[in-house]
Amino acid sequence: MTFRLHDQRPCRRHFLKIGTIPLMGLQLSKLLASESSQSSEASAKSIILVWLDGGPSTIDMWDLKPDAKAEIRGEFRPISTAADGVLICEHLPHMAKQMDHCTLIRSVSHTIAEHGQGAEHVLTGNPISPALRYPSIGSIVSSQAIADSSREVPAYMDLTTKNIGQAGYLGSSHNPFVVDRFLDRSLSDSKDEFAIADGLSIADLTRRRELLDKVEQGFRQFDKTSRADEMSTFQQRALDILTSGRTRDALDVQKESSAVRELYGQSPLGLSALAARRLVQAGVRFVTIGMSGWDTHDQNFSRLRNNQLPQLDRALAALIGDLEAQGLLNETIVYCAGEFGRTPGINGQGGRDHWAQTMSVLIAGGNFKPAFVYGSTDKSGLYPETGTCSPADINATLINQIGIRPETKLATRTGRPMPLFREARVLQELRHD
Amino acid sequence: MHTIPFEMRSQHSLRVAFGVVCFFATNLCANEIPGPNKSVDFERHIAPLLGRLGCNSAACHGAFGGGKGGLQLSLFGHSAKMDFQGLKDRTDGSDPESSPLLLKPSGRDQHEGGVRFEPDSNSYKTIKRWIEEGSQWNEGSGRVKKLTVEPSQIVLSLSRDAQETAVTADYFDGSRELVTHLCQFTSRDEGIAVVQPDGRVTRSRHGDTSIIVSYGNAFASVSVLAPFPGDTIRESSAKSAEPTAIDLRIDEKLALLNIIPSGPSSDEEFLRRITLDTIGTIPTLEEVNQFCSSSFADKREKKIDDLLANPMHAALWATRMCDITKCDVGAMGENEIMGSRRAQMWHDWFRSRFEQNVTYDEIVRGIVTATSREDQDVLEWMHHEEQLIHRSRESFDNDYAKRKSLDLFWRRVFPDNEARLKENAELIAVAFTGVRLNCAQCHKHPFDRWTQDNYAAFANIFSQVIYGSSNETNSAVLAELARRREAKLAGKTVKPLPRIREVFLSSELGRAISGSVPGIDVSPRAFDSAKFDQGSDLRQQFFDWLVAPDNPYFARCFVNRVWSTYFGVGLVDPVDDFSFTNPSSHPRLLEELAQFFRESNFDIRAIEKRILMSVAYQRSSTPNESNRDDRRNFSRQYVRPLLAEVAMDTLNKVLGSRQEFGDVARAGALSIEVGTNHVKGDTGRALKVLGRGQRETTCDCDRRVESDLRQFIFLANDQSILEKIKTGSIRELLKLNDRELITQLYLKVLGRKPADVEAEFAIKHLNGTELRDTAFDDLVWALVNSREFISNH
Repeated sequence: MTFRLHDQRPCRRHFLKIGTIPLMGLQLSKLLASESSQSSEASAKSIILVWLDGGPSTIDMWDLKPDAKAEIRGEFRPISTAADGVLICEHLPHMAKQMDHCTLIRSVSHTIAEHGQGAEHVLTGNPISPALRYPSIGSIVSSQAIADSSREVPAYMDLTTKNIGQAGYLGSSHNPFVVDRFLDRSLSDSKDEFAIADGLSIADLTRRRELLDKVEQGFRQFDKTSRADEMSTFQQRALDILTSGRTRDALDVQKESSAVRELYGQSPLGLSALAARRLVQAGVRFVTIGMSGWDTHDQNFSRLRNNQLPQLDRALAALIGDLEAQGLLNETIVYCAGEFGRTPGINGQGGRDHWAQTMSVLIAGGNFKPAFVYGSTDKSGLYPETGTCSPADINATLINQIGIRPETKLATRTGRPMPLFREARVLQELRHD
Repeated sequence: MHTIPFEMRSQHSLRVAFGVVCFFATNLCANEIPGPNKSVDFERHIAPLLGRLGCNSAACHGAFGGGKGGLQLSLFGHSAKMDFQGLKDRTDGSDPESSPLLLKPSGRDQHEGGVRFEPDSNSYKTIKRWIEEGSQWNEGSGRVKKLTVEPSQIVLSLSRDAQETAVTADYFDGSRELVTHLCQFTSRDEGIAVVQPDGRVTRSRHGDTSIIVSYGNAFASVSVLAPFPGDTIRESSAKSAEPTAIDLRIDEKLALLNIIPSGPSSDEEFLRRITLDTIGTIPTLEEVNQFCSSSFADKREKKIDDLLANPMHAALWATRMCDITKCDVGAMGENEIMGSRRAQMWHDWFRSRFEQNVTYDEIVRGIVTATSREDQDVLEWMHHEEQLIHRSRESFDNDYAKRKSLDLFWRRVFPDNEARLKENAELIAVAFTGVRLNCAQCHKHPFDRWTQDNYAAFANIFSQVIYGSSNETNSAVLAELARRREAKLAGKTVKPLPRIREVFLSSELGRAISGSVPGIDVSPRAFDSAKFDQGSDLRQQFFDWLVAPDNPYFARCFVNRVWSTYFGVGLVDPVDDFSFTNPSSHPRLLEELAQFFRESNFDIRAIEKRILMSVAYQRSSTPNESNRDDRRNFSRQYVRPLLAEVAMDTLNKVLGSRQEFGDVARAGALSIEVGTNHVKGDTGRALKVLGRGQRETTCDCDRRVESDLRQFIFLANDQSILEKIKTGSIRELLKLNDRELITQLYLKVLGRKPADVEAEFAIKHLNGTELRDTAFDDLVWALVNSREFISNH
């Protein structure tokens, strides 16, 4: 059966009306306060995004086409997994054992087959716009996490060096805190900025903070102007983070037993996955980790087989298994995606090119329906056949799961209320009943 | 961009996602079709509908991802030819209403893009009439000379909160038509005003924004002002200066918006702000005392003149220009040491020009028309170049700044010739015209009128430039090598000749890049200029075009950068995005400033002084009820973060410490005097944390202009800062008595005297439980961690 997406959505006219209700004098702050209240449905607390930079060939990973002709099928064979009837690539053997904790979505579709804009589209759930930059899903989580989450850790951290997942109109306070020492080995000995400096004690910091508070009195007149407000938030949070020491602790993966470290491996992705687990444990709400090298225009198969898949397989499976072992998997969503998939047709260089019309993404934990596959693609993997969904749908489904209503409106810095997504649908089928 | 294999294109089925971009489209309630005695024109009436209905976006039929259902339209409507061919095939002249062009979008046949219009809509009727009239295309009929929106400015009050608009197109053939119903309307800020598909604008909240109107490939914008509600009472406070021509424009808009500007800044506030803005540091204790106690009426003007002539003013400009022209060691093709020396030459070259107040057009001439040899004889130049290479291996001192032109700009290395052309073109466009061409590299700019062909034609202006060896230099080098060999054979000691490369112009053709389709004319020209003559120096013609009195970009782009330097926000903002969809907050002021700049023969200090003398610049930053939300109308000065280099220099200045740059800068240099963007160790890390950019992307967004969490963690806890507090000469204040110490400390760090309450708690802390030394550390730490210190305001 052909799945007709627009049949299931509110028609555009209806949508336009929702989008343009004037504020009618409502105090903006009040409106936003009521909008930002968390829904009661929170089933999970945090998200770990595993970003496969460059556009992973998901047709060779999560949605193999063993019956297609050789030019599409490629070199890999499917294997069975811990989830009944769910087959994935033979080069993901560790993941195969974890598939009973995972939900695969094989029918994500969009149209922007270009890295930068594609990534922005997938991470924000919105197409690029001339008028403003939309916030990434991590920034959305950050903006909603201020009230309830610990102030002693950054709400949103990024352990990659890709400068993705920016806050856009939400302002720089919701950009991720980037820690690059896991991906860039040359930085591994660099200073730990979360460690209290030599010669300074927590007591010193506390005393100085009281003094700073007095010094700041004169500047309070600026508090209601957005930049000064932001600076104040940073200032307070910086001191909270430093005095608590939780962030520093969480980033210190050496504190794990050697057995656990062995599980994740020494690859940059493995180390950052372990740090990510420790960070969500410490209260960070959104952590981005990732791996590049997925832009396989040539030698797709050897690159996947020798490098990409083994590293991903070990780290991702370790992360899911470890979260489960620590009793954290239900409250943590692991979301593995890239900016687009790759062409089913194999090109002259043995590679696959950009293909946004369909790709698979993997979700684990977070109380989603486990061992479940949502959506499917046609026999050659060109287009979704059932369950077609957009990046916005995925993002809406994810944030809904951690208790943020997808219809929430956020304020831009000029106070303009913006719906999170132009259009999105929560994939109710993924919910675990 | 990688193309999709043909095989897949042909398999495009209808089972594809309903792309998000389609939602740009509007539901049509068009109210006009051409009158019965006028025929429907393809370019005027049909093609614009494709944009308005969203048909030509990449998600639908726009040819980028392939064109759904086999229908290929040009992306964002750049080619009437392509669009005509696509549509013509979907008409049925014998039975117009059975044309797929009508059946599908009206929902009578399966259309993945959904119902775009109803059979009783005017879109439907217009297309039907066009088919009935034989589906003709009259090439060029729709070329728009001017798109006009009426009214030209919209004021929306609480009582009069809606306004209709009308859009008129003037075509090149002299005719004009009302085209409101064929346009797309977008509000830049729906929090302030919302626009309906029929062009009706309604108020949401007070503030100002604009409505962007597009008709096919033509754009226009109209500004919307929604005054602050309620009675506002003008303060009768004394004016600090006479309103200038600038203030006339600022104030007239503030009056329309019913915003009361903040009063004049105090002397202390003014002095700190302008010193940071012009010379990148804060005033010394003595300067504060002297300035504040002076009773001369013209003391602010005098201060402005002094600061603009200060050597550090030129250093600060050189740092900004190094950002704008992307002085990046990583692109110099040299090792780190030689790279840092070259970066310093780059910085020095700019610095000496700003020191001498060389006119802006001359500076830009030295960049865009640079060659290595300039007008020197080849032998003379070769020896000079050899010397320069030897000298720069040894130290930072050489005479590069005396050169007429900055050939280093063209010595940046790229993977290949095409990348070189493109990167240089994008950078020159954005640096000197403020136009972002980047999008147009792959497809028509969706939010501006530039196409791939504009891009290629612009890039081809630089196709004569070569970085390598000219035949002439080759011969000279060979002769020189032979001479040295002989000398060596004769027993003399000779230095080896280093590799000599130069930036020169070649008359060879064939390095140019091609346009969107084979054979299309992309011969060199700048945007919509006339074609340049390929038989002579293209860059010279480009430069002449840039500085011509009627050039709409050059002067505006620079005065806007100057404005942004002194207010933290441009009249066009961001400053590197001059486009139809990003209109200026004060178009008339921008034009008047540009006019002044041109008439002063591009005198940089004159335009700076003009801006700094305005009441607007000299306003207090303290907000009032009516201007608290103002971000773009200059009703007060805004709190803004410091430039990374300025923050670092200022920290060192107040703490009485020095910054170590190792071997990549001159000993004792301030951060604003350093050319290289590759600084290692603690200093490099600190600059990065404070927001210094990498100079690797063609975008002003490279430099972080907002503060962030990391910066405050750094200030509070970084070892280097704590050590400077412990060891800097600021500790000499400890010799003073308590009250004197606190006064001097506030003056030194914040550029002002402490308020009574501040002096009181500070003295109390000094005499508290901690040792006086420790208590002093605490106070210094608190002051440098304060927002007042780490921002300009």
